[in-house]
Amino acid sequence: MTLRLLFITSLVFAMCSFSAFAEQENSATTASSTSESEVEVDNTQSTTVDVEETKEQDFSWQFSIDMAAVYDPGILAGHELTQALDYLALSLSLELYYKGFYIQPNKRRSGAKFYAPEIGYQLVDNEDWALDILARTYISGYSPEDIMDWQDEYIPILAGLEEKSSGDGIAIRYSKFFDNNVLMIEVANLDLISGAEGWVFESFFSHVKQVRNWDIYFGAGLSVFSDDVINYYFGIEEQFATPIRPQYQASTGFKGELEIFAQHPISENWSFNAGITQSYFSSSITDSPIVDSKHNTRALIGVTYVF
Amino acid sequence: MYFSRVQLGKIAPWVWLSVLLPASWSAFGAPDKAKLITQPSSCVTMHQGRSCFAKLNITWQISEQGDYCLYQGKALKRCWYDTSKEQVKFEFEAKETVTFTLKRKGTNTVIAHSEVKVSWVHQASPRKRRWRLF
Repeated sequence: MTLRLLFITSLVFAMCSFSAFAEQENSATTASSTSESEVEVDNTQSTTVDVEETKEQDFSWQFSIDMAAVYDPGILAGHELTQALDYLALSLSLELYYKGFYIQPNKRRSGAKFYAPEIGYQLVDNEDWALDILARTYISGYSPEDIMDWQDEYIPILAGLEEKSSGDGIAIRYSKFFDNNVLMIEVANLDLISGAEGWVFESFFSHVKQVRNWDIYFGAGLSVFSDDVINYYFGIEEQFATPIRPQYQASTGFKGELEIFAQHPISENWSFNAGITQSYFSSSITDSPIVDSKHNTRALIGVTYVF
Repeated sequence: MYFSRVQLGKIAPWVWLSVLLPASWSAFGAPDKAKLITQPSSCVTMHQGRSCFAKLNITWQISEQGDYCLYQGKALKRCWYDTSKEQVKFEFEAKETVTFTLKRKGTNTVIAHSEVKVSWVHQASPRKRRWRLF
């Protein structure tokens, strides 16, 4: 933990240094982007959804509360949705931006806790592409003890396994913006701030379509995990092997995802949200004795209050 | 010659009223007893800068029969002839608050006005947001 804090502190200092160095150079381009943004609004423009941001702001923030009904069965063997609270979610979400630095939730998913935020800095922020350095969670951790306590039952396939911490990584992300689309590609290293060592490669394509006041997002993603990462979460070492849980050594694996997400304003502060995500996992994940599904369907329906 | 604050304060209130009331009366078109109502009077979109859509119902009424035109901002929407009240429905689309005005045809005098406020849930941000659901 101390090592993680030390690393994050060093990262912030490094970003500050880069920020100070880049500020002078950026001042000229800021002036030009400000003048370019002062264009007359054309009310006759129709359903084209602009990438909605302006560049002249140095600081912005947003705080929101999400309340949702969630269906997220997971892929761990023995893990069941047994209580009403498994289907309910309340989340607080803070988004901050200051001169290239940002803290934001990296997923819209609600959970009964604070969003695990993404902390980053925009190394390059052009009109049509961006490069960020960031720290965020790539894989949720799990605790077999907590699962059994929550379900109030003994689960032999999970019993005795160690708790797995969340897969937090330091990453470089390239984003390409075109029309109403975003393509994001990132490479993350989990060695420095995570119990899971290894690499994650993530790519995600998102297209937003505005249908009257509905915003509908279509997404597709592919994540590749190194064998170290898969083994940390789904491998079974010799000392944890049992007759129903044989030793398992994984190779590199991947996860493919498709999702649809829709939002509609209710008022200036409230919006309605609904979405569904379908995930598919490679055999190096699904062959694990503690995984009982080759795919996972997750859905969410709820409201968000934005302060 | 100029009036100091004290001198202005000495002017009787009825003098102020006699100067200001006719001006405001005229500006709001009160002598014509005109009414212009837009429903809904607000439109909310998800993000600042996006177009907001609504099915708009506009009704107007005036005491004097004549030829009148409805404007959305500076753009002419429609004119009516020899009438004193009308109702019209149309698809509204705008990125910012829009003022509707009713003018006597051939003049530039605003007889009545109303606005549709365009607002949004998410303010524009320097960040290009695009999150995943899960």
